[in-house]
Amino acid sequence: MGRNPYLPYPARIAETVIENESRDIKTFRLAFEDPGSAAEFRHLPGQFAELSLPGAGEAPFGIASAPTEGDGLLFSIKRAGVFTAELHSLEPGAPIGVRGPLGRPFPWERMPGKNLLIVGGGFAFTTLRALIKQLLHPAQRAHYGSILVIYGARTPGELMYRSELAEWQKRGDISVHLTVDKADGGWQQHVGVVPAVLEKLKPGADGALAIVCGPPIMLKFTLPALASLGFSEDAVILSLEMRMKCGIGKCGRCNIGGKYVCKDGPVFTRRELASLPAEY
Amino acid sequence: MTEKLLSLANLDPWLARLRERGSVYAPGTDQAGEVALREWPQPEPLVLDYKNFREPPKAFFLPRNQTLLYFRDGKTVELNSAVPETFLFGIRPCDARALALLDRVFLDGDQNDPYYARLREKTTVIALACAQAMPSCFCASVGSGPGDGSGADLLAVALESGLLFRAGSGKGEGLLAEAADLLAEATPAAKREAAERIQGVTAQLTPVPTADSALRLRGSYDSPLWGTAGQKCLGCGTCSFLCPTCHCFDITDEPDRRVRTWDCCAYPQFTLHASGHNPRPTPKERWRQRLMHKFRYAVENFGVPFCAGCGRCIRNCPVSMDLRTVLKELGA
Ligand SMILES: Cc1cc2nc3c(=O)[nH]c(=O)nc-3n(C[C@H](O)[C@H](O)[C@H](O)COP(=O)(O)OP(=O)(O)OC[C@H]3O[C@@H](n4cnc5c(N)ncnc54)[C@H](O)[C@@H]3O)c2cc1C
Ligand code: SF4
Ligand code: SF4
Ligand code: FES
Repeated sequence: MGRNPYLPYPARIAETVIENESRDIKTFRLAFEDPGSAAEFRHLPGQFAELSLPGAGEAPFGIASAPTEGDGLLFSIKRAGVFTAELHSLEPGAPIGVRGPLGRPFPWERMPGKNLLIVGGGFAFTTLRALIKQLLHPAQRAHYGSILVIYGARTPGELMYRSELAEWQKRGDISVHLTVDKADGGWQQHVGVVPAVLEKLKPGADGALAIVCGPPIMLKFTLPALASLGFSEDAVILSLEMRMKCGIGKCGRCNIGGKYVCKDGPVFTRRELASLPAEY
Repeated sequence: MTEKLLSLANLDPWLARLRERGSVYAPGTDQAGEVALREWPQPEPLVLDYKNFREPPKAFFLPRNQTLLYFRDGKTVELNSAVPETFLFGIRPCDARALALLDRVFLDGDQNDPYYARLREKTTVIALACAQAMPSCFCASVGSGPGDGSGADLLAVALESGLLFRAGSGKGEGLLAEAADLLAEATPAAKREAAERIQGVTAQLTPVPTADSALRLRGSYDSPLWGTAGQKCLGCGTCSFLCPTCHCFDITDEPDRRVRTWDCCAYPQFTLHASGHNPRPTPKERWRQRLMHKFRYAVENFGVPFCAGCGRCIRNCPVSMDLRTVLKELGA
């Protein structure tokens, strides 16, 4: 029998960064305790992990770093309840467990040669960051067509990864559009919800894939907008969230119809979702 | 498939031999006067003609509380205490079939559950064909039946003068080989008697002809029947906890350990997100999930309904919910 799938790899918090003005999203850089764990933990963008704090429990989080960034993992975590509050109280050096990688990644094999439209809203942008880092890697970038990113937040101060976003906006090989629901004094970029920006920019659907992560309300308006731009159900890729425990398709908690989001997802095409009950 | 006869006089000596190798559990009358699986031997005699136990034997494989990991000196570790050899004698075929169904989830090859796997490996299952059906039994409508040996290492059929054993696994074949001196060849007359007894019980069952197709019908998901059912359901979880195939669990921490406990899709917290969003906000969606999981999603994923037709959820629901009604009305 292989490794016990419930046993986390030992790691430590190496660094924490507050991501937003409301100070409720923190990025944690985790370093594995031993090289063996680091070597075994091989993830791809779109996958997630269960973070474990002994005595406090476990919870699932998307992996925000790309494997091309080297050993260690990034997670950007919003303080939402018991576990995440405990996590936010920890300082660098604190031990933490990591169980994974879990779930199906973004369909990497379908991306070469495609124009990529990446649409994100709120703190669900985490795994999209991993995807963008991977796509922009010098050994990778030439395999893909154009890359267009649309990322929205409530206010400018709620956008995560702001210095990275600014760097990407200076590059010629990726186009990054930021939008906020409510601008403040210095804001020079889009104002309005993500689907409105999408309709303004009108990216072409030919030879393109759209990868979308965001809260339900953003999805509700973004998906029809993509359809009217000509994106087929196969060309729209989404990542979903459901309450989870085991992360390996056993505890029976995260299903949508016959699919387990932890094991068969969290990444699905819109066509796959269309055949499932809308219970998410 | 080997078949052998054990005389009733040899039953206790045979169980005593199994007892030398591990714990033996067999049907007996408990303090409350109910027939249950009890550690053998007991002063009271074995009971072979009981209907079925109130509780299925799933706790032998998925304990209600099970420590997965311990926290020791700042480390999260597995402390595997040795799992004792256990023999379950006399569980009913529906409950044994439920184990074959649970195997699909916990021993799926892709990602085995090591805790379940250990208990399943160390536990030998000897099923006992039914002596009589209850009005709530419908095993034959979900691919099982009073003589179903799937999920058991041995199936026993109680005859006038003894037990006919039928091996269902390598482990079962081994048991018969070891007990050769206590066993006799199965005569054609004994095999005939066994078949007749099983047919007799099968004939007592009320079929639910649409059991494995109703929920796969177009429109079943949106049926108004779910609303009607949801208004009645109290969300108490009795149906799930007593179901031999329900296996959803929670994982929570105590200060020194991580524990897995039974959980239930009838509870609102089961799917509640930290944001407050709940994909199954009312009893309607939750009751639909329980039935859809068993009769549609499991069929899609495994080709069989995740129900053994034991009838426990029907017998024990405090507000008399009966899944057969929904299956019949949707399938009509
Ligand atoms: C695949 C996936 C990826 C995710 N990625 C991120 C991320 O990158 N950043 C981030 O901030 N959050 C992410 N989440 C949400 C995050 O898991 C929840 O916010 C977190 O579990 C809340 O835990 P809590 O104990 O603080 O909240 P409480 O409300 O106290 O929750 C108690 C328990 O319920 C469960 N739970 C509650 N809400 C959720 C939920 N939405 N999803 C899963 N389990 C839940 C957990 O087991 C949790 O420990 C992700 C969820 C999933 C399923
Ligand atoms: S036993 Fe009856 S009332 Fe209780 S959860 Fe099940 S269906 Fe609902
Ligand atoms: S759903 Fe009801 S009848 Fe079917 S196995 Fe479970 S308890 Fe028995
Ligand atoms: S989280 Fe347990 S089945 Fe998906």
